[in-house]
Amino acid sequence: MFEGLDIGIQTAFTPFNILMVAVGCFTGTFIGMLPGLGPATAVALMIPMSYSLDPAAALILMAGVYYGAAFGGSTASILINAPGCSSSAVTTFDGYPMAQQGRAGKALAVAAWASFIGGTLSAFALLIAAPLLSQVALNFQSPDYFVMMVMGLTAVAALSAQGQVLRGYAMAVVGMMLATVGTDGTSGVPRLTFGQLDLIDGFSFLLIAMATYALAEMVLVILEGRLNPGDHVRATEMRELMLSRDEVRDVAPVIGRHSILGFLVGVLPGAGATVASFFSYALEKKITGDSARPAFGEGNVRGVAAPECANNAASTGSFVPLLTLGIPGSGTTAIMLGALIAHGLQPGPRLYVDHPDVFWSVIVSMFLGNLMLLCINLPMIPWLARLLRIPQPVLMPVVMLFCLLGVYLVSFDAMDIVIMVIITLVAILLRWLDFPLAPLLLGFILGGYLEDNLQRTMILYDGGLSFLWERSACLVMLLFTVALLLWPLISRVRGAVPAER
Amino acid sequence: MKARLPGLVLILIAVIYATQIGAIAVPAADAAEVMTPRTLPVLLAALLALIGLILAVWPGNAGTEGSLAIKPGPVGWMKGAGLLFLAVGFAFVLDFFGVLVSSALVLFAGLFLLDVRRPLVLVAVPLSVALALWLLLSVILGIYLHPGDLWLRDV
Repeated sequence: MFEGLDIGIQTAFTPFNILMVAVGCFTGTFIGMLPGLGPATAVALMIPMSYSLDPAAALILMAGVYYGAAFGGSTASILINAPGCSSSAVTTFDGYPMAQQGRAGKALAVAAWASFIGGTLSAFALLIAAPLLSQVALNFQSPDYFVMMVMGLTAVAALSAQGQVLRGYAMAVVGMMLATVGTDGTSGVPRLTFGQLDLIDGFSFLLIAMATYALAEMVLVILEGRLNPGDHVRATEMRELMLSRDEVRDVAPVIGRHSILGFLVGVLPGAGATVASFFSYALEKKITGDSARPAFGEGNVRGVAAPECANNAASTGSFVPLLTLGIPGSGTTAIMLGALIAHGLQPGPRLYVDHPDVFWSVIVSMFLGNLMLLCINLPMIPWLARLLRIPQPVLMPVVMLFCLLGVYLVSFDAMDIVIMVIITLVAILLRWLDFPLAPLLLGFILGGYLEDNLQRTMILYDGGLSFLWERSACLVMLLFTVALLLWPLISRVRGAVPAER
Repeated sequence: MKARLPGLVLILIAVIYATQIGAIAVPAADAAEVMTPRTLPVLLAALLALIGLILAVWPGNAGTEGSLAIKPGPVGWMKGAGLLFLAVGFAFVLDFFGVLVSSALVLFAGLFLLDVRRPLVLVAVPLSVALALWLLLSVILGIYLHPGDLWLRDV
């Protein structure tokens, strides 16, 4: 581990990679602050730029953007009650009331410190957990990978919002369907191209990510009339950012427990920062009880600290399944998985062996990134808050242009933009019908690998399914998959019994 | 009927997808294999149709009304559709005008569509952003950007 850490420090602490951390943190904070544009969009927007970087620098940049966006999302939540991303939605519950009471600076400072400590503690946990899990996963073979991918897809769908589990599974299937479009890797036969030559290479990952997240989100913001004119954002003073000793004493234990909780939730494939933040808020509310003054939902500082700490810890935790198993822990890490594959890297246990510089430098950069987030962003909060005054009608066309150029630059084929618009329309329809889109993206990414591994497994086991019970790793993951499949039913029955009583 | 719509949409997607599976040519050498290029698509189409059927028959289990409750006004529809038309328009003018001019044009049209009317913003934002992007991509990152057929004619 120490040898790897040394490689990581040498790679991450080059002037260029330090610059990438700074650029990533700042850009992520800025994009994360913009309502509607969350970490997934922020990371997707960075992909075209990352193509010109080496893989380690690209991943460091995207990791910086990821936790920068998770950090920045809280600013819009607190200042204008419009969460920059879903993981900071719960911050509005107490953050916005604090801002209305004239304590916006305090809320922003608590969010900054909670994010910093949550992110740093979980980076330590990542440092220990990731290599251990990688060593176990090195013994994995095609059947294990196949079952693991099924488990990852099941987990993402099963952990969708309540009542959306079946819809989550449907979207994972649609994502895999999109992955089958183009030339079949094994036989070389064109599949499902509708006779279009433009589809012979299949869809690019960036195209799907931009269509489902960035462009669809922008159109939905317009359709739902959520365009923010930016004229009602109050200026924040520097002195408002200082915390008193009592406030520090009050939030310190909250940050400690939710760092651990956030990391553990983030490690679960599919759970991610949003689940962690909601879970933390609910737990903190239960721990504090009715004695809290002001009450939760009326500007309690713990209601800001708990979710902000948990969502940053979960963002770091979601790198564990990404780096060690090649299974993204969230929609954002799913995008990063695609970007890594585009760089010719295959995240998974071999990454630890084949590209230790990438593996370790990302982990090391997280410490640097979290410190940088605090050092750069805490003093900049008053200025960053002013960016929210830029009206969205001005910002939105600029962001749209980034999306269009990003897709065009992958293939230099303008038809890809037309295909992106068609997929955006389908994504809007699916969103309108309340389908979650994160499982779609994951299905698209894992679909090809799932098919490859299934093919190899079928050859190895002569078309039989005995690998499911003969290989212990397969059996354990299969049982876990079955448990995930049955979980919604069990929780429904458990919920129904007390209600009947 | 509204509650059954998500299920029916899934069935429609599965049917459209399934109609194309027959067109996948299976190489003679692979015909006897357990896995052919058609195997996964067939499984996926069947699985999606099954989920769609469950959601259509038992819509109560399918979740909340969610975004279905959102009803944009005519102006919202027009602006949303306009933004997508702009994206398609950008694709069609890109090769003719080149990246720099097309970017400035799409920004100007986008700002105008979203009710920005201040002349300074309408001119300064498209020009500065398009120029900054062109400098970043073409000059700093060294990516070749098509200058546009219109400007190449005279060369």
